[in-house]
Order: sequence, then C-alpha cells, then structure tokens
Amino acid sequence: MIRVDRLHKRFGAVQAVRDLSFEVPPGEILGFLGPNGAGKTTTLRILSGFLPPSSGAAAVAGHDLTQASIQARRATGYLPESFVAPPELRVGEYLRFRAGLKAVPGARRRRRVAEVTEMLGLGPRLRQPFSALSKGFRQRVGLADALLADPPALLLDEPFGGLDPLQRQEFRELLRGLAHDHRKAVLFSSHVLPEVEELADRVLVIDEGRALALGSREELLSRLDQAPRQRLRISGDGAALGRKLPEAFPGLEVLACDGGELLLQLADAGQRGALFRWFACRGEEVLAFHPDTPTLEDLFRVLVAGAPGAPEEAA
Amino acid sequence: MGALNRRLRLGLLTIAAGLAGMALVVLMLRALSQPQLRYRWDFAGTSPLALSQRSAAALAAMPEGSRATLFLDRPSPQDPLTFYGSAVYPNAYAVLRVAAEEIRIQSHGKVEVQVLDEFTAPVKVAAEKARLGHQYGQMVYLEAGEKRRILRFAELFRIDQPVNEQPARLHSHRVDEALGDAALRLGRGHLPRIAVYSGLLPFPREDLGPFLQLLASEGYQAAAVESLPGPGDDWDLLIIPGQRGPLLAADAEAARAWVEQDRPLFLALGSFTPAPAMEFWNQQLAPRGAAFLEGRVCKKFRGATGLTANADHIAVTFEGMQANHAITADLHLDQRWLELGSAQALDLTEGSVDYARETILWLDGSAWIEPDELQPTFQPSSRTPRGPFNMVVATSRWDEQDGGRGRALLSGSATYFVDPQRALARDFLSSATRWLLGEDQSSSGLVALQSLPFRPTAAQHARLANLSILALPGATLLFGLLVFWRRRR
Amino acid sequence: MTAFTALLKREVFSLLVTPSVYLLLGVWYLLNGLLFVYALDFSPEVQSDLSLLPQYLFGSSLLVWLLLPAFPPLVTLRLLAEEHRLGTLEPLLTAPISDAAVVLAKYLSASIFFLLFWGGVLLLFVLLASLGAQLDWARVVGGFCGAFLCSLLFLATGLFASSWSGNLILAAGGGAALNYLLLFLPAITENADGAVGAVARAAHIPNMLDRGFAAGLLDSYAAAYFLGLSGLFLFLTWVRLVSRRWVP
Repeated sequence: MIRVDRLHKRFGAVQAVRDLSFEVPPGEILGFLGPNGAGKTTTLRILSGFLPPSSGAAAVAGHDLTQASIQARRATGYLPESFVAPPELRVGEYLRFRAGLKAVPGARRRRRVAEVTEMLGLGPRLRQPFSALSKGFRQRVGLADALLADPPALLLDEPFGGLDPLQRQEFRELLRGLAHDHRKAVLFSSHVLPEVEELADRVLVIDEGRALALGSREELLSRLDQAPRQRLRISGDGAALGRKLPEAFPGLEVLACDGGELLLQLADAGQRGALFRWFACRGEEVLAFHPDTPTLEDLFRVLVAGAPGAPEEAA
Repeated sequence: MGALNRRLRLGLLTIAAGLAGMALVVLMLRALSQPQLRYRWDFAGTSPLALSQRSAAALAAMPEGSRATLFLDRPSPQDPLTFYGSAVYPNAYAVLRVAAEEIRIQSHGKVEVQVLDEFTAPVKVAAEKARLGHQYGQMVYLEAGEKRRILRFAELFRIDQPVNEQPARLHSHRVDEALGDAALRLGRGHLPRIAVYSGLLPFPREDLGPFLQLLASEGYQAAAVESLPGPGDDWDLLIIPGQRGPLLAADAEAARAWVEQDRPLFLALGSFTPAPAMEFWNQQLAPRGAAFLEGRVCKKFRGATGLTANADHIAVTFEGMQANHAITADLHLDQRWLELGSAQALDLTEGSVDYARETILWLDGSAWIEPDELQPTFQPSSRTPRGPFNMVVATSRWDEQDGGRGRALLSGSATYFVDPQRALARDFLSSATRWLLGEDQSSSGLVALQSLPFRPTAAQHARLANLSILALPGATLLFGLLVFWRRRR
Repeated sequence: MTAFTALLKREVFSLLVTPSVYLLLGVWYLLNGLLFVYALDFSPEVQSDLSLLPQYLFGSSLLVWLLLPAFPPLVTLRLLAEEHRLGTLEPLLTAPISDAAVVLAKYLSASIFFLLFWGGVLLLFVLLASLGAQLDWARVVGGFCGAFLCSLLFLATGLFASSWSGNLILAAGGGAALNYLLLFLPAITENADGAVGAVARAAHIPNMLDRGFAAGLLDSYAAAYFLGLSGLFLFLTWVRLVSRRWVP
C-alpha cells in the first residue's frame, strides 16, 4: 500500500508538487500521467526516499517516509527514470550486490537473482558488464533490481522508455502479473498515454504539481461522456454548413471541422434525427454518422490544455 | 529569491553542523593533548628516542616562555666527522629532531622549540647565532629567562673517531640525560653555587664580570668571594682564577680543608704566582700527583702575518688537547686552540693511589721555560728546560661516586678567565665547570645507537633496484591490464 | 549490518576491478621504489644506519609530502563524485541503508584499498630484509602505521571533496588542496607567535610522522589527531549527503 497525504514539494520558488493525495492499494497499478515537468519524478523521488517532502506525509507499507525511511525503502522497489548501474560491474555482480544491500538473506540471494533475471530475460546477460548493455536491457536490470527483495510496493519512473514494442508488451504483462497475482502496489509514471491506458487500473493525472483527476479509465472518461459527441461525414463542404448548425440547433457545438468531416457536441441525443433531416433538406448526403468514443488522450488534452468540457479538478 | 533562501538555509544548516563537529573534535584533541591523557610509547628497537619520565617532568616544570633552540646546520667540510662519507651528523640530527618534538610535547608548550636547519632562512639562523653567541659544535640551547644551558655535540653523542679511512660512527647518545639535567638545572630553584675567589686576582676585579655572567647564563649561582669559603659553607665549587700572592692564614686553612674534603676545585695559577703560594698549593695537592713548576712557559708563536715571534702568550692547539676527556673532547674535535698567557707548567708526581690524574692540555717540545721571571729573554737556550709540558691537569678520585667530589682542575694559566667572551675560553670554561660539578656523567643515561649499516653488493643493489623500480610497479600495471582484459570479456 | 557489509564488499570489489586504479597504484609503487633506491644510493645516513629508512620513506622526504596528499583523493573521487556523475547515487541512496553507513562503507573500502599502497612500500622493507639487511622493525611498523593513519585523514578529506561535486577534477583537486593545506599550513606557521603558532604546532603532521611514528614513537595524541580529523571530515561528508533529506 502506498499512501500520499497532502504532499507538497517546493524547490525555492518552484512548487513542484502541490497538495497531492492518493493511495495505491495492494494489487493495483496506478498510472501517473502528466506532461514533462508535471511533478511525476519529484513525487516518485519523494516516495523512494531520495527527496524529503516540504510538507505532507507519505508512507509505503505503513512506514512513514520521514519517520521510518529505511523501513519504507525496504518495502519499496524503485526504478529511477534513467537507471544506471556502476559500469565496472557485471549484471550478475550488480544484482547480487543489490540483493545484499536489500538484506536478501545470503542463502536466498543467488536463487532470487536467478529468479528475477529469468523472469526478465536477463539470464544470458549476467556476465556482461552493465556498460555493454542496450538501453532496454539496462532498464530490465533496473526493474530486476527493484524486484529483487520482493517488495510490496513498486515505484517505476517512466519504465517503458527505451523499450521496443515487443519488450513493452512483455513488460506490461509482467507488471500486471506482479500487481494482480502477487498483490503488489504498483505506481508508474509515464507521459505515453497508450501505455497508461492499457496498463493502469487507475490513472492519476497531474500537471504543475497538482492532481487533476484520479480514477479508473472508465470513471475518468465518463466525465467526458456527459455530453454526447458525434462524428459526421458529409459529401459537401462541411465548413459552410458547420457555421449554420449552432443557429439551427440551440445548444449544439461544432468542435472540429476538417473538409467534410465534422465533430459535433450535441445538446441532447434527440438532436440526431433532426440533424439527418436538416442535411437532407440541404441536399447533402450523410456518409457516416457515429458517436465519438473519448480516450485518455482526450481527457488529458482537456485537463492539461484546458480544452472545453474540462471536468472539475478531481483527486 | 526563494531558491536563494533555501540554499542559504541549507548552507547555514550545513555550516552549523560542520562547526559543531569541528568544535567537538577540537575539544577532544585539546583534552587528549593534556599530559594525563597523552601517552607516548617508544618501540624503537635500535635506539629509543623518547624522553624519560625524569626528563619529561623536568621539562614540564620549566618556567613558561622557556626556549629550546637546536642548531642542526650543515657541518663544516673540514670537520673530521664528515670525512669518508660519514653520516654522524645526519644521524645525530635525526635523533635531535625527535628530541625537539619530545621537548615540545613533554614541556606542555612551556618550552618554545626552534629547529634551525639547512631549510631555515639563513638570516634567521644568523640572527639566532648572534643572539646566543653560537659556536661550532653547540647543538642545543635551553633557555629559561636569563639562564641558559648549552648542550654540545660531545655531551650529547658518543662517536667512534674516523680511523684508517673508516668514517666516524655514532655509537650512542645521552640526549635524554643531558636534556633532563639541563631542564632540571634551569627549572629548579636551587642552582649549584660557585665561589670565585677574587681576593688575590692577578687582573682587575671588574675583568671577572664576564666570567661570572657566563656562569650565571649557564645556570649556576656564582659569586665573587673575597675570602675562601670555610668547611661550613655550602658552595659546590671553588674557582681560584689566578693568585698573585700568598693566602692569608684563614684562607690557607680554608683551602687546606677544602682540598682535604675532596671538594671540587678549579685552581689556576701562573708565572705571576709567587713561589711560596705555589709551594703551598703543591703541598696540598701532593696526593693528587700534580705540582706547579716555576718559570714562565714560552713558545714560538706564528701570528696572523706569518711572522714568528717568541712570546709567553702561547696557544695550545688541538694536538695538545686530550681527545677523550669531557672538557677538551669538543675542542679537540673542532680543532680549536686555547690561548694561555703568563703560564707555568705542571709536573706529574707520584701521588696517592686514590687519585687519577690526566693531562688535558699540553705543549710540545717547541715550548720552553723562561727561568727568569723578572727579565725574560724569550729566547730558548741550551740550559732552559724544553717541553713537552703539562699545562692543565685534571684529577679525580678513582672511586668517584657522587657528583664531582674529588675532582680538581689545575691550570698553569689564568688569563682565559679574563676574556671568557672569546669563544675558546668560553667553551673551555663551561666544559670545565660542568666536569668539576660532575655534570658530564658520561657513563649514565647513555643510549646505545645500534646503527644498522647496509652496503649492498652490486648484485644485491641490482636486485633491489629491479624489484622496487621495475618488478613491483610493472607487475601492478600488468595485473591492471589483466583485470581490464578479463573484465571486458 | 548486512547492507553495510554488502556495500563495503562491493566498493572494495569495484576498486579491485577498476583498471585505472592499478595505474594509480603502479605509479605510486614506481615513485616509492625510486625514493627507496635513491635513499639507499645517495643518503649517507640511511647507508650508515638502515633504522633511518622508515623516516625517509614514511616521513621526512619531500617526495612523500608531495605524493601523499595527492593520491588519496584520486582514490576517493570515484566513491561519490563519480557515482554522482554517472547517476548511480540515486539507486544507492534509495536502498534501505542509512547515509552514515554509505559514508562509512565507502570510506572503509578506500582505507582497505589504501593498505595496498602502503603494503607495497612495506614490501620493499621485506625485500631488503630478505637480502640480509638488518632493520628496526618497530620503526618500520611505526612508520607504516603513521603513514597509514595520515592516509586515513587524507582519504576522509578526499571523500568529503568527492561529496561536493560530480566533477571529478574538482573532487580530486579539492581533496588534494585540502590535504596540502592540512600538511603545509601548520609547517609554514609553526613559528608564529601566540595561538596561531600553538595550533600549528599541535597540527604539524610532518613532525608527527618524522619525529614520531617513523622514529618508533607511538603517540596517542597524533593517532587521535588523525582519527579525530578523519571523523570530522566523515561527519561533514555525512552532513553533505544527509542535508539533501533535510526539509528546507
């Protein structure tokens, strides 16, 4: 369980994290979504024990990060954004050292290293120096390091960076397994929306250090869905007709117009039939007409860029 | 502004922690430098260098503001101790450097130690030499206020002289003993008391002033006395720096008692001493096996201009000095000479078996005795007695036990008392005084310097060089390469 | 304790498998070897008395005073500055190990490694003894202990300098500068009057070695000086590391 309560972090004049509160229960993957500089890495560094919070509290597995930092760190597997291991060490040497550092008992150490490297496909790389590894394998070493002590909580900062699509897929499955089968609380940050959308059980959207929204994908998208949107394609010039639409249909908004394609925000679902008729009267054939399904990208755009229809701040 | 504030606060916090740590360490070190908490263990197997508890206590008892000045300058190339590549001086200096540190530590900062060596600014060395009237061979000056003790090379070290082209070698030192004595002398309230008889001086009384000052600066309590001290007086040494007439009855009685009691005596007569007075002393000193001879000793004298003259102003060169006696060893070593005027010779007679006697200054066969004191011709004739002559004789008891009891120094001349500021006389007089007071004690406190010479053969040398310059660094680099190669795989 | 041991082992291992460190060690051995042969060839006092050789190699020669302050920072620069530069410090400091243990383990590893530096010099004496030369081993061991204690101090200052920057040149240069300051400042000011002179004399490292340890004299104060100051610089290093956790 990861718990964050009214967390603030200030670097001089810069407020990197503001009043952030959330929880990641065991067995859940929380995606930490936000643009670059939103405060994701700072929050993860606070949770990893690398940085102190300016105010507020954070705890991992019940251990407060300021009061019982070592215990909290023992309960955490942390993968920094750009993971680097000492270049002079071989992968196996490094992982054995980290296992010792994390107090994995001596008898179990080799076995645990073998398990984790097997899990991450690092077996053939054990005798290679870290400096000779590709970025993907380096990232795997970092993840192996985070998993070594079998901690109840995992903090992963941009874990997909540098991985090829196949590796990403493997990685996602691995994390799902860890969370759902091994009941680990996983908090990962990313600014790659599809990754978060696909992996996270819940998503926390953050910008300028502030939480903008928190919830499952469906919960978040349902906020966008309150007003139905329709994507419509006609044979003629959409731009000219699009300008007349709001006059004919009170409450309707034209969100986008690209040639004959229009994205409309209807006032209510009953306007659909009237629209068909309106276009038919003007000799325009409606080639396609289907509801527009919102994605996290839409939500992200709405929340971060302040696009119309943004919901109230959530957290 | 905020960032600056944060940095400032963090910086201040860090500095505060640093200062707190520093204060703690300083306090700890200060406490550990206190004598009761400071321990020094001397593990050196060959020649222990640490000062004994006695010396340490004496140094700690010295008055605040005392000074120790060590002259460890480059020895003269003419010094025989540097011949044949001898390392006597470097080795001695190594011992003295450790001693300097010991003085500083054991005196708990009361003695300000100054080591003047070849790395010291020459101006400073020259200034200190001028201030202290430094002479060659004087190694350590220990000062407490106006009092001063000078430790010379020969007092501190025992050497094997260079012979048969073999370099001189340091075989022992008594640095601890000498320093302890000097510190005790300077630090204690009671100083050895020396009576200088001024009742029948052959020179103006005021000329005695510099000699009395010399004694005071050496750490003695010296006073000129008009009459000889009686048996009840607690003088430690009696010096008679010349006598131009017979003693009064009371003084003669006192002199007789002094000699009978074997109390230390420095008796200097001269050709100006009338025969009865000389006879009186010869009687008293008969058991010692030495007697003053009548007549003025003269010798050809080659002056600075190269002209040869005959005079009663004679110089005893280092060849005429006893190399192994505590008084003259230094002078001999430094190849100095001592000037004597109006001198008379001494004869070695059959004395008591209780006493040993040793000539420490003598003149060779070129000297002669002017028989007529009143009309000297300064020309030797066939009838005039020729040298060699004993000029200064040291006597002591065979069974000598405490201090200088039984020691007497009989000198055929007293002129060197007049100008003790001249280097030669100064050194001679202070060495003589020390010997008479039993302060040389060369047998005690000697620490053997077991030197470990090493002269490798050519093969050994090559092996040493190869292993230390090539093999060890080479093997290390090779091992590094091996590691590099192994780890790259 | 396990974490501490693991880090200590790793640091020693890292030093042992870093080729550049062997270069450093080789140069050290070479310079000391040259000094050793020079002492035997050209120093009359050493030739006449080998018991002075420890003072020569462990205390009184200028070369020792030029080398000794420079080498420890070259070893310690990799302990924190290089970790900082490479980015390996973050994984280390987020591991379940206290900052104090990190500082101590790193320092101890450098100290253990530095034993190799002086061990090589000690080997020269063994070599000499194997050729039949008689040695005063008390002085040899005393000199070795003094030089090593002094190295401990210089390693601590090096580690402190290493904690300040990811710039290796600054880390090594800063450490060396601190060491030269500790070494030469008291030597320059020892004859000053008053408190300055008293402090300088109490902090005079060459005297402690040349006139102490290397002469076979073990001095509790000198040992406390080296260890106390080492402790101070370790504390300052710890403050430097831990201060990032302090809430401003």
